Amino acid sequence: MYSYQAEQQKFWKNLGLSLVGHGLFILIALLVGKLSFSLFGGNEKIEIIRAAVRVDVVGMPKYTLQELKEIQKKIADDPIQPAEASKGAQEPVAKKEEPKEDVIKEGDLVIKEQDKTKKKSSLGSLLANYSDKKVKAKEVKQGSKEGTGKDLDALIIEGNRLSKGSSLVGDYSDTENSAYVSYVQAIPELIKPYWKLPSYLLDKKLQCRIRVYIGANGQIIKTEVYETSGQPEFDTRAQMAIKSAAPFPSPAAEVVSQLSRSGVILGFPL
Amino acid sequence: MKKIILSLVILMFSFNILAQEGAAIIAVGEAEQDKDKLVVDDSEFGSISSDNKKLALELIDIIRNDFNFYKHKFNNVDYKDKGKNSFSTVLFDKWTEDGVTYLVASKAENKGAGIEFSVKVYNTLTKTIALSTSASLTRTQLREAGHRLSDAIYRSITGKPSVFLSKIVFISDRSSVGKDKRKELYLMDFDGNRVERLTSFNSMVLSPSVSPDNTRIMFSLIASHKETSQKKVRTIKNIDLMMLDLRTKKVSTLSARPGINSGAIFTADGERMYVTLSYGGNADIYEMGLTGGKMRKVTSHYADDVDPSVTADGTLMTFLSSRSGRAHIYTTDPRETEKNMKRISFVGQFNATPRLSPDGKEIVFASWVDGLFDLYRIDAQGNNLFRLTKDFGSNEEPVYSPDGEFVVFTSRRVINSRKAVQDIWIMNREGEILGQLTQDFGECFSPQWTNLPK
Repeated sequence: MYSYQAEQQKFWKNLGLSLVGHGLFILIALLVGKLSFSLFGGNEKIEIIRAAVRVDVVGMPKYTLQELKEIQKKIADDPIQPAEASKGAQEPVAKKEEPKEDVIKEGDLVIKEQDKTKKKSSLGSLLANYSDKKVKAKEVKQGSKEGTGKDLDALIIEGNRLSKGSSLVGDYSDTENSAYVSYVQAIPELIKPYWKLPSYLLDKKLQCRIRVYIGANGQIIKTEVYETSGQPEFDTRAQMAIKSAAPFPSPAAEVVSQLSRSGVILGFPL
Repeated sequence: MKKIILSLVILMFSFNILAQEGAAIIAVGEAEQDKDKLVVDDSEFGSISSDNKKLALELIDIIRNDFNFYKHKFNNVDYKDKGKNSFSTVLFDKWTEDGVTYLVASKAENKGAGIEFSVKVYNTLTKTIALSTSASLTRTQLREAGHRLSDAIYRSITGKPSVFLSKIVFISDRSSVGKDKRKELYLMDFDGNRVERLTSFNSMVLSPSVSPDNTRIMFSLIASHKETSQKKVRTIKNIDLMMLDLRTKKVSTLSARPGINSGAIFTADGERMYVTLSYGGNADIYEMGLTGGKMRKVTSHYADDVDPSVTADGTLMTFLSSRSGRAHIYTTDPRETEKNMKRISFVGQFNATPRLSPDGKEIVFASWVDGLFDLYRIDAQGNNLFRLTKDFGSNEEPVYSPDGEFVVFTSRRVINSRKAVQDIWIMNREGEILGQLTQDFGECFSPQWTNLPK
C-alpha cells in the first residue's frame, strides 16, 4: 500500500506550499515593514520633531527700530509710480520680517506724501473707482454740536477707517447726487498727506468739522469752522491741511452749484 | 403786497435748493503724528554788562540743549535772521512761511548781581502768546533757572511736565582705591550736569530706588558687622537695606537681617516696599513695611521670581521669573498674590531687568544676544517686540524717564583686554541715542530716574 513515489510527491508538494507560504509571509512582513516605515518612520518622523520645536528658540528682532525706519525711508525715497506705491502700501505686512506696526504706518504716510501733482492727476481714476461702490451704513461718533447730530449722521458717507482700505461706508444713497458724492468722497485722500498733528495734540483726541466751499476750478472759496474742537490750534491745523491740499480737481458742471453754495463738511477725524 | 408774495416765493425756492443741496460730511480720518518746528531765538538785550550778556547767552544754550532732547517731538531750529521778530513784536507770517509753529523769544537786562530774563512763547499758528514769564538769576542759579524756564516753555506748548527738572540717581566706582572696589551713590541732572556725591561708606552700594515723592533713596549696602560667637568677636559682611533722606542727608538702616537681598523698590504710595526674599533657595517677591513688620507674598512659585518694577499707580508689576525654565518676563497685579499672572516674553536666551513705563503700557528690558546685552521694548500685553540697541557695546539696566519719553541705561565698551568703560547713556523710547551722560567717572551702574512732582 505504501507508495514511495506518492510520499515523495506529497513531500515536494508540501515543501512547495511551505516555501510559497513562507515566501508570502516574508513578503507580507516586508510590505508591512515598508508600509509602517513609510508611515511612521524615516524623514517624516524627523519633520514632526522639527515641527515641535519650542517657540523659545525663535530669535530676538535682528533690526533695531531706527534701522527699520531707515529701511522704510529708503523704500519711500525710491521713485515708483503712485499706483504701485498704493499697492505696496496696502500689503506691507507680508513683506516684513517683523511685525512693526509703527513703521508700517510711517510707510503709509510716506507714500501718501508723494508728489502732490501726482495725487491730483490720479483723482479721475479715483472718482471712477468710487462711483460704482455700494454705500453701506456705519455708526459714526456724534459731533460736539448739539441738535445737529442726527441730521448730520444721515449725510455721513465715509466713516473712520482703521486701514487704508478702499471700500466706502455710510448710508448716503441719493443716486441723483452721485456726481457730488463721488467728488467729495475723494477729498479726504487729497487732504490726508497734509493732516498732521504734533503728539501733544494727537493725545488729546480732539475733533472738529470744517466746512469748505469749492469753486468751479476746484479752488477753495472759503473755509469755516462748522464745529470747533474747543482748541483753536487744532481747528487752525485742520484748515491749514485743507488749504495745503488745494486747489482740488475741477468738479463736474452739475455739482459746481452745490459745492459752491453748500460746500462739504470735513470731519477731523470724524 | 406783490413784493411780499414775491419775496416769500423766492425765499421758499431758495430754501428748497438748500434742502436739496445739503452739504455732506466726510471723515478725513486720524492725523499722522508730526513734529513741530520750534525756534529758541537769540535773546534781545536791554541795559546789560558783558558778563551778564555772557550769562544770558549760556542760559539760551541751556534751553536749546534741553529741547534737543525732545527732538522726536520738535524740530529745534536755530535761526539767525532777526528780521522776523523782536521780543515785543512778532512778524507771524514770516515765521509761518518757514513752517515755524512755536517761537521762543527772550530779553535779558541787568538786575542786581545777575540778570532779569524774560521769555515769551509765541504760537505762530494762532498768533497768540502761549507763555510770558521771567526769572531773576545769578551765575550760581544758571542751570536750575535754565531747566525751570525750559520746563515752563514745554508745559505751555504740550500741557505736560517735561523731564528737565528731573534727576538721575546712579552708582559709580570712581572712589575705588586700587583693588579696593568702592561703589557710592551719586545724583545728577537729567542731562548729566551738576553731579553730586550722596554717600561715603567706602563700601559697595547696590540697587538704588527713589521714593515716589523724591525725598528718599532706598539702597542696599555691603556692610561689615561684629558678631560675637563663643566669646570670640569676628567681622561678618551682610547686605543691609538702607535709606537716605535727601532733605536731611541722613542715612538710616532699614534692615540688617540676613536674608534681605538687594533690589528693594518703593510701593506706589512710598510707605512700603517690594523686595525679593529667598527662603530655602527659592526667591519670591514680597511686600513689606519699610522697617519690616507684616509681609505679604506677591509671587508664590517654586521657581525664582526676582527684579520687580511697578507702575506709578501700583496696579501692575513686571518681574523676571524662571518658572518657564528660562529667565522670562512676567506681569502681575501686585495687590494680591499671583493675581493676573501673565508671561510676556517668549524669546531671548536670557532676559534681564524688565522696567515698566510710567503708564504701564510698555516694558523695556535687556536681553543676552551674541555675547552681549542689548535693549528691547515690548508692550505690556506681550506684543510688538522692538529692538532698541545694536552694535553699541553691552547695554543693560534700562529705565524709563518719568514722562515715558526717554530711557537711560548703562553701556559697557571693552577698550582692551585690561580696560573697559561703563557709562550712562540716554535715548528716546524709539531707540534713538541722544548722548552720553557720564564720562571719565569710573564705571557707572543702576541709573534710576527721579519722579515728576505730583
